[in-house]
Amino acid sequence: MNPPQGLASFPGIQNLLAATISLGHGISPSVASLTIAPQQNFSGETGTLQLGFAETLLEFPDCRVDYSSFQRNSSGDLCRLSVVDRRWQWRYGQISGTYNVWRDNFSLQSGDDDGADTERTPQQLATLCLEAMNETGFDVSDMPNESRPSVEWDYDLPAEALATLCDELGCRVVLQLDNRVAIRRVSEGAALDTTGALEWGALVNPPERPQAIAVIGGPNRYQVDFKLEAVGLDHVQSQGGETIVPLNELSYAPTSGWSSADLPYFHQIDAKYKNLAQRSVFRYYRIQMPVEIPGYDGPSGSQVSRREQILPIEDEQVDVATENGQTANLPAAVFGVWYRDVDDVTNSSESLAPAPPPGEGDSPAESIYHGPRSLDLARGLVIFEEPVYQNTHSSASGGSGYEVVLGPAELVLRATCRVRDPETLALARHTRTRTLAGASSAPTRYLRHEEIVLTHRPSYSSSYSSVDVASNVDEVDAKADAFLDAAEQEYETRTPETVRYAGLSPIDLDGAIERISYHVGPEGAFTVASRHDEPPRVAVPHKSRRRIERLADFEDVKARTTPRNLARASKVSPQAKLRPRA
Amino acid sequence: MSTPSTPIQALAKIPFKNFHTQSVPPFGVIELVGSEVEDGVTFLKGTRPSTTLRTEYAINGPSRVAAGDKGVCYRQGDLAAAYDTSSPAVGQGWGPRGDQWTLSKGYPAIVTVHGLRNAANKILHGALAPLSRVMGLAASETAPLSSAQPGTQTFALRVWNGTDFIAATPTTTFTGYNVSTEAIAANTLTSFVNVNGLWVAVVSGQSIHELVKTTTTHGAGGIATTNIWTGAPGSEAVTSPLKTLNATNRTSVAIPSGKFCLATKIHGNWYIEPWQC
Repeated sequence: MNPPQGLASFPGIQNLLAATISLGHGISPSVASLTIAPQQNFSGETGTLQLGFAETLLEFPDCRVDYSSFQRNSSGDLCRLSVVDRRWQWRYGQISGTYNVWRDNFSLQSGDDDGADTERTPQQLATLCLEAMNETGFDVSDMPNESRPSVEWDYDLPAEALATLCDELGCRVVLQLDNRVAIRRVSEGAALDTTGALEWGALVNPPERPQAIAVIGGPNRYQVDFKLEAVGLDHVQSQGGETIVPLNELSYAPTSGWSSADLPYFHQIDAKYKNLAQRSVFRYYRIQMPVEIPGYDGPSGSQVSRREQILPIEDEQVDVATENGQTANLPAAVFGVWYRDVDDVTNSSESLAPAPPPGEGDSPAESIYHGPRSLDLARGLVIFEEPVYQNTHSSASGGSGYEVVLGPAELVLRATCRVRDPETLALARHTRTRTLAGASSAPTRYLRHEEIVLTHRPSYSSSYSSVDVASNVDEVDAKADAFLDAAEQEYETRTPETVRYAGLSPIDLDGAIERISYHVGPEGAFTVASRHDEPPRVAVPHKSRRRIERLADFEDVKARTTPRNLARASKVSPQAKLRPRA
Repeated sequence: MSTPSTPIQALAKIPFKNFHTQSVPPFGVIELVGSEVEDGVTFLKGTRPSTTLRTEYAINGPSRVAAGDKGVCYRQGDLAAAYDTSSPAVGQGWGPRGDQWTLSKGYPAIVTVHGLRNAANKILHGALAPLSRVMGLAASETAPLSSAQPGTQTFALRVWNGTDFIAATPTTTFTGYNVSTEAIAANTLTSFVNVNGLWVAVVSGQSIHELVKTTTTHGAGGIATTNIWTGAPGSEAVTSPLKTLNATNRTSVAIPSGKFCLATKIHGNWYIEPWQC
């Protein structure tokens, strides 16, 4: 009886002498290297690569010739070429959709209001991708399904979207021998059977663990009731420019003060300063320093003393409201004690008190200023289009008389800021740290996730004497933990092993078995399977491959995001800002 | 009376300078006596209403404006204004009164009352409009138009007390112009309108007949002054204040003193004919 012969075939190849295919994780096609008898004409393009030995036949349908791989002999005849498995088709297609939209209050937009139901589990998202890749019979059941990762696909490549999703969840895309796609968890899978193996090699490769891993969120957001001080523009004599100084320190401030200013003209002011006064007096209000930032814990506790630590501020609050089915941050608000200039001589309120948050209180706060104004976020300024002041006469609060005596309004800007360290100017961010068992003394590895943002929302007492702070730390930590879980898998102790079998052993890739190579040739056939290991001499490791894939995707995105396209996109994007990912 | 709601800040704020020795109180009425330019800015010159009636007034803003200082005032629109006494009622006309900063009831109406804003501090709410019409009375006859020149006379301002047009206190005067072809008899209550800054008498429906009584013998062909009588038939009385006219006796008889006569105006001249001779 003759020993069994290795057989290989591919459409258009007249005499295939030997074939080797190395299968790996991911969305990039695996490559088969074919050695053929010199052949002049070759018209094959796509087809099924078959490898057979004894009773075993492995089929790889829809393989495609990699024309860049042709090698010719000295006669010019074709003698070697490569074909790629059917994953070459995954370079095409598109997927669009926005799922798991996290509102500004960190609740999920899941159809509980007028908005669209955006909630999708990871397995549902993976299914969407795979369907967009024209895959059938796939298996996504291994995917962790608890988190709700936020995605915004806009004519994105479905395979890349799937790979990114898998990266975030500690999973791998696997093309199985039955030609079906499966999503497997990293490091989890079958053991290699060493029975009858030709060779078996194992080594201990302890992971290079840092002492801890940590998720770093985006800069913390603090909602603050910023007290404002009246300021004005003044000339900088030495520079010929303008500067901002408190009202009573203005070089042109009337000796009797501003109480009888003839608003809005300021004709009492020297003509050369009149324009500055008209533009700024009782119109410019600046964040007063120092300021208490509820929830911030810096070197001086919650107190921040320099403006550069909090500027630029944001033009919205952490508080949210629902409008047109969308829950979004409220715009910044200004309120306080100011003269309303209607009906009587009273101010908007008798004393400074926090405006009630939306939905609280019996009626809309009279103290909120609804007149036209703008925010100079970079300088922490509120600039009113009309003079805003308060009546300091006793009649404003029920005293005798009936007149208006001008004074700076007592105003508060309710807005959001980020806080920088007073010495390093580093932004305060939330850190979720997990110490690794058996860790080395290597520093902590930080995983940056800008989309995870810790927010603080204070509730002040009526006289601003005390404050309670609510935060979303529980939600933020839960999201960070999902990333830490995925990252921690990388530091599990593994024993990389490689087993060489005679013949063709139909072994499926999974989360642990990362690579399988089949070789068929005149000398016979053998199978090499690697577990927790990807031999670099054989193939590009999965991590490196993902870098290449992401880079390719980035180049594609870059090409699509020319300034003109970006401008166009910004007009139509339903997601005007980053949303947190799970 | 409800307090109306009006956006005061929507009104045009006119810069003015206080030329009076006192400060202008909040929402006080200001008499405008001209303007001056300072640093390229034109300021209205404002002072306390005087005893000489003018044609332009304004209301101060909510802040007190010291003597010689600059402020803003309103010339037109719905606003708050200070008043003196009594209780403003909707629809009443209130206006400037000599020697005070507050509006007074029945005085030349520049504000039509909409309601009370603050009774304790005597602040009303009303519509400010330019002064366009006043009532006056002259102690002497005002000559008719002569060629194109109107007759003029000093009139004493009359104000409405709810029943009668009475003399303003303090006495306030203005120059009235008569552009009719008829003279305005002395002590005739006359309406005036503001034309080109002049108070022009509105003379209409003048009678061409008057009941008069001679006070002296009126010789045939002579001219004499007679007293005009008025009142219900049978209880006529001499006009009060007294109104007179100069009439010609074109008859051939002398009319004794104390006789009732019919005075008739013909071609602008009064002629009398005796009833009792």
